[in-house]
Amino acid sequence: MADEPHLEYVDDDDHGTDPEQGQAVRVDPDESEGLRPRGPVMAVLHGYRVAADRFAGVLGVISAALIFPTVIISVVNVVLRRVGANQGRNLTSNSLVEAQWYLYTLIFVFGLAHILRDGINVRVDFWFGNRSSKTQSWIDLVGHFIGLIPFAYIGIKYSWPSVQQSWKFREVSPNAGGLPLYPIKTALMGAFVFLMIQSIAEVIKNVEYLRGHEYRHDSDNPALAGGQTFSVEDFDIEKHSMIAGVTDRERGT
Amino acid sequence: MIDPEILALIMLGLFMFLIMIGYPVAFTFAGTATVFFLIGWAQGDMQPQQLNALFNRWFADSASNFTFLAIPFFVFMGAIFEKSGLAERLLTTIGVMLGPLRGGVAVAVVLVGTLLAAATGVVAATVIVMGVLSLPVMVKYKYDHELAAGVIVASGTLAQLMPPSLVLIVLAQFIPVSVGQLFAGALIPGIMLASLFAMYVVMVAYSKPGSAPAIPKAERTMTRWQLFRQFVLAVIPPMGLILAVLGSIFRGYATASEAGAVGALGAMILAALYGRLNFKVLWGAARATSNITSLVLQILLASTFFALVFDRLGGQDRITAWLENVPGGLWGFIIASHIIVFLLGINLEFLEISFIVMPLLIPAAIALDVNLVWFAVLMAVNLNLAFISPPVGFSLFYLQSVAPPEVTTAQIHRGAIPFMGVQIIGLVILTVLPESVVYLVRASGLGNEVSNNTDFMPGSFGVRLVLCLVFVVGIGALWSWRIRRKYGPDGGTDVDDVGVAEAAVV
Repeated sequence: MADEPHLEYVDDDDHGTDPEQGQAVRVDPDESEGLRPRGPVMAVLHGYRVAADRFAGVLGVISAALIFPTVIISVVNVVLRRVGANQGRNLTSNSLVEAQWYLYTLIFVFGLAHILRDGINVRVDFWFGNRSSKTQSWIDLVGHFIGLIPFAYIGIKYSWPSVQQSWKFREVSPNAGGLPLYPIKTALMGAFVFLMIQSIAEVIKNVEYLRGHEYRHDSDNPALAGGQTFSVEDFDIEKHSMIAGVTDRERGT
Repeated sequence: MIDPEILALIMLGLFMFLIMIGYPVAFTFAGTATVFFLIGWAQGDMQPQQLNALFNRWFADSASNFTFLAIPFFVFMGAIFEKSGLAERLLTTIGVMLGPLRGGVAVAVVLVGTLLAAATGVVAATVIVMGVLSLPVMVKYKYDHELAAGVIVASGTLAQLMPPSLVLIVLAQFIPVSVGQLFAGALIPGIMLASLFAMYVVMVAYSKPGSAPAIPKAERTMTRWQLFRQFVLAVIPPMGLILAVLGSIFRGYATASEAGAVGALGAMILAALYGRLNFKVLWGAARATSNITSLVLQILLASTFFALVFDRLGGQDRITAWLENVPGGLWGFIIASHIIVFLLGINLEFLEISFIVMPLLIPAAIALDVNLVWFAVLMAVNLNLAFISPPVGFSLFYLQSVAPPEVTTAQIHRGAIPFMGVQIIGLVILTVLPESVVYLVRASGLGNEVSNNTDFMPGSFGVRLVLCLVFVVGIGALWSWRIRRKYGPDGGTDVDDVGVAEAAVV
């Protein structure tokens, strides 16, 4: 999965490095993709999961794309502020200043679901890393019910009254000429909605895996690896990123 | 019925245990908080309305936060450096320049590590880039594997300390000082640690010549002039950019976020000037930035929830009360904090430490009138130490993942130990000389909010400085004597053995 160049946090999911197990759980040799769900319920759930994964992928693209306007607006801000200070005038405005953190907030609002999908997490893995991928899947499955889903639920539940309030009064930033606050507060709640959508998909993913699905993550599946709209994989990362090159080498490709 | 304060302490203890299982840390925070909130509710100690503060905290601390705005900028700047190959050029150039000296490549690793540490601010990036580029070179030229691995791990981990670093930005959130002040405070200690690493390498290279041989003359392919040109082209511009970014923060000319934005633009312009800027580099850097920013915020959002429940149960007050009453007053507190942070830092990422431990330590530090910048820098150095402590230090894992097969895991672990020793020496010096942290904060004119309490050290600055120098030289001499006694005067290996005729250095 050269999909994400991990700078800081290594994606520590077991990338199917346990081929024996992958073989053992495969039921029907015809289903070589290991993807076909069994039964109508699983089929619906599978459909949901695929859709949610695609959606999270789109969110990830938006999140990354937002970096550029954030940098540009901030640079414009600095320039205007310094030039203004030299001329003794105020060239920048509060809405321009606030646009910076507006955009920064949107980066993680859209990014949270995406890193969940790709399994980019901080884990303490000196024990976890040595477990079989089935055990890891069980840990994640149980954990999602105690940690992830309640978190998303609490996020939505306790954001909703504030968001409602904010819309009612069309809340605007207290700074003169500032931006309205209700859209960004809604976006912050949206982060938890996206998280909830994706966390259900994560649960389905683990259930499918435990029921004999071949891959824990779509990104482990070579057939689906190129399925994203924009994939860093298409790029010549070897040449440009030492890290991505390393990740590939580790996998022996 | 359990006393709510006891419940809070159980909650903290259980959390520490649960993260060891390996479920993502952020959701372990959330899960523990959910369960203990429900217990507290069932007992009548907590009411659901008490969580109403949650959204406003999220909004104020995570979203509309000008401090954290700096995170995407500095990560982006570092990612551009790394993905466009600027980092690689730096290491190659300095490696070629210093290679002909004894221990030269290792010293180059320290120098570049420090620069990269400042540029990227992300430990994994620095350690992995240097591991990939320089470990094979050092292995090829018969460097002692332990020394080679240790120097990479140690100097790569400086990314946590050298401003602008992610750790300092996050720490500033929990301490009533600005990011600029923390950056200013950490610069001299970062440079000091790097110099100590370099001194250690040179000491070993001369005490045990076989461990870090010079690259033979026959392999120097570049003329002096070419080398100089290469230096000017590859080293000066990135260094200039980093210095400009830091300088504008220290001079109060720009805030940390503003300087970060300009730095990010500057990195793009530099990459473009080298002809290495293209869509792949930009998009790769943007992806990495989006991921790391989301990761930090994921943990922050969840830990805010955890902290709220913990606080409402009375855990915060209990811990603060304990820490204020640690025997030994201020020194007892500082020693206790060091032990806590070191022990936790072995297993935890800096994010968890900052989000869980710092809020517990800081109120006590304020009550005891500790200089907060100094305290934060000491804790950051301590985290560095924990990061390279075998067998579970994070940097060791990063290096293991890229080490050539000749270098064993045991060698990496053993190699890190002397550098831990060097860091402890650094920690002692920083403790004895608080001025080394505070000086730049005051000189930069950012120091208004800093507690001025550095008077707890007896004796004048000069006396303490001389004592520190004597300490360093003394330890160095002892260490050198021990190595010589162990390996004999010619350092175990024959120096002439080394000449492997291959053209380039890196």
